[in-house]
Amino acid sequence: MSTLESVKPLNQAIPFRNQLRTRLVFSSVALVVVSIVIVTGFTLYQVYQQSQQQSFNQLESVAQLKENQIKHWIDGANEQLSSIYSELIVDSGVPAFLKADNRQAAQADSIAGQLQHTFEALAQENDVSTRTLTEAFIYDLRGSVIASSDASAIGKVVTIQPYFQPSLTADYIQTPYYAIGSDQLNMVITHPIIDDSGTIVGVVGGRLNLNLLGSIMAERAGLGDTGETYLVSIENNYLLTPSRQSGYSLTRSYHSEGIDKALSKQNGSGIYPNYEDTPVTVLGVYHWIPELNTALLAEINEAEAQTLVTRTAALIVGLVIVLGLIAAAIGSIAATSVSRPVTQLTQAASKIAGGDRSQRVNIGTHNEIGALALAFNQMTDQLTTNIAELDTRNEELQIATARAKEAARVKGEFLANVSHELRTPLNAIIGFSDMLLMGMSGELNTKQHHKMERLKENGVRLLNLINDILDITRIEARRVEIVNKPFSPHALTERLSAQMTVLAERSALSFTTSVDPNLPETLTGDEQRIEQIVINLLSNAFKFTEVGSVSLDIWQANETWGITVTDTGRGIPPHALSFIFEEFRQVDGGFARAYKGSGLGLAITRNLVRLMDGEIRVDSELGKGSAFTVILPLLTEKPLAKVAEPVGA
Amino acid sequence: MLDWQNTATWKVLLIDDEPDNLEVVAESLEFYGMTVETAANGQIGLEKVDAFLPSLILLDLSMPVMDGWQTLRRLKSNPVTQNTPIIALSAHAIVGDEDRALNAGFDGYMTKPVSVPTLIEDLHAALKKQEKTEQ
Repeated sequence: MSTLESVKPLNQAIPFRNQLRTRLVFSSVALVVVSIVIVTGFTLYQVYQQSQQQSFNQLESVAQLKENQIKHWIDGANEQLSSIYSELIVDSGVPAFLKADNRQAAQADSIAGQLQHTFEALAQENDVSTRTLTEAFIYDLRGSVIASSDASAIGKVVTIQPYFQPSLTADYIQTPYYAIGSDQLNMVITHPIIDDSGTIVGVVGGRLNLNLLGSIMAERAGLGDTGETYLVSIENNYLLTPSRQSGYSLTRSYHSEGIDKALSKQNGSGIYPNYEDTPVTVLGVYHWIPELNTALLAEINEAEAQTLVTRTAALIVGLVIVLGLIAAAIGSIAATSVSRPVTQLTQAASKIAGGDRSQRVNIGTHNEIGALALAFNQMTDQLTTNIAELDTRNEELQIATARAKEAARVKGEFLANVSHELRTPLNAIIGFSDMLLMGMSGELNTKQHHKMERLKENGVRLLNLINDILDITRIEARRVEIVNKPFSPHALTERLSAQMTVLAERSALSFTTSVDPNLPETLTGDEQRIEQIVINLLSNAFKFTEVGSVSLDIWQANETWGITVTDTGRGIPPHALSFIFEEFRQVDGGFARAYKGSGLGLAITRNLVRLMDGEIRVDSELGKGSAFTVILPLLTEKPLAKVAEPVGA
Repeated sequence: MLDWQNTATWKVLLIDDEPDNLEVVAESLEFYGMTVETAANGQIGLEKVDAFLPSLILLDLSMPVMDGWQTLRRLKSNPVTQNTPIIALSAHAIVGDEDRALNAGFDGYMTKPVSVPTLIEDLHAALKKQEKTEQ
């Protein structure tokens, strides 16, 4: 469409980011996005807090549960050991045996058999998951094992085991340890064996099933995908139960904020990097378990704990994008509803500017833009009316101008014809006068000669009048062109001086000329017109001076130069000074008759001087003389050599 | 070539429709010793050149039958007169008239009325002026 093309450059001229559409769309999108981000930001923070708290609560209950299970496990071991003690030792005379100086080998076998039997009976009562003890054994105060559910242990000495000394005085729980020369983790609980008199005579011990402890810790209910619970011993910070991750052996020192705090006997929770070689940030709950001298830790990866937050955030981002797009669409529609009429207005304005004033805008809405369009149309109507009026006036003016030009042309033509038609008979009048005066038709007597001279002189006067009238008409019509060319003022003065000397001699006046020596050799100006001016002034001076002198002075002052013609004539009365430069005005009618001027010389002179951007002045004193001064701008041609001269030469 | 020292050797053809002008100019030229032939318009003038062989032609511009402009063209294309100086002698004295004539091929321009006492000098000046312009 051609209309679109004509407006295209306008659209291109507006940078994208400045376009109304861009701004409206951006604004609406920003409005939606900012409000959603603010509202959901708060919500998300709440969710984050809550989900964190929830994670901690869950970890805490898991830790609590496991702590209880561990205690229950130890209680179970104690219970089993107690039942062995009561069944075996109270009735069987074990204390007596232990006290005896000479122990009967048979009795030893009997005790061992009974222990074995009791242990197995106990094992029968419990299923695998509750078989807390893996071995029961009895040793005397010297540490010699006299009976054991594990026959191979009988006769071994336990004095070097860590539990031995504490076990001789009270119930003791030996927390997990590595027996010397073994990589097997052990845990032992002991009861002292007391005889009737209340003396400790030996110890009964039970080795705990650490696999059960492992099972407890490996149970991952409530821990999600990344959660784990584990025990860290105060001894060397070793792990007591295996890590979920492979490659982390039990017998390494492990540290983390949770481990260290729990091992300093604190309970609590926190977010910290875990024990792994490349630590992962976890939410952790840590408990100190005094029964085991061990730290219990329940941890879950922060990332998993924050899954809800992450998902919610992702959901919100999606929501923001969707709502942003909706907002962009709504903004775009809104922008179009504004920018389309604006574009229409712009197109119409462009076309009107291009000269098509029939353009009107039809928006069809009654909002502010509709009002603008209405005002625009009214303005265009008014504009069209005004332009039509202007056009009419222009036409009238053109017609008037053409008429004036035509009138001027007709006037010029008329003057040219008048001049031509007057000159033709003047040629005969002056020509025949000349011929008679020259005696071509025979000698004239004095009277005839005089009258013939009057005839010729009046013919010449008529001719001069015609010339002056033509001149002033041309000057007033601005048809005189000032042609500036270089000329020599000195040569001009000499020429004029020669011409005027004849006049001076005839009228017996002294005539002097002077040229300022500072005046340049060459000036720029219209030599012919300047000569005409000087001749006019000198002619007047000679005409109106009867005795004395006439002088011509060419002078220079700053940016001007000038011509002054001074005479000792009858002078000009003050009241006449204001009008002597007007056409056909002489000081009085008598003058014109006496001096035979056309009355146009000074008017022509003043007009010529004005055309040359100069001025003319007159100083006069009645009866003493007059001085006419012409002041012209000093124009000189710049010498070419100066322009061509190289800089620094 | 015109001999300015001896005007009696000149043969002047004067073409003008005004009998008074013809009389004034022709008699004045004869007064200076020249041989003068007159013609009342360009047509008659052209008919006379072959027999007369002028050394100078004075030509009015506004004439019936054949005006000065057309006559000039004919004279300049005629082998007999193509090198003969032709001066326009006209009562047209408006600025531009002279330039127009010189551009058309005239060798000089003189305005009427003529001045009989200075006629020879004026003729000389008119021709000189054109020489100057041509340089």
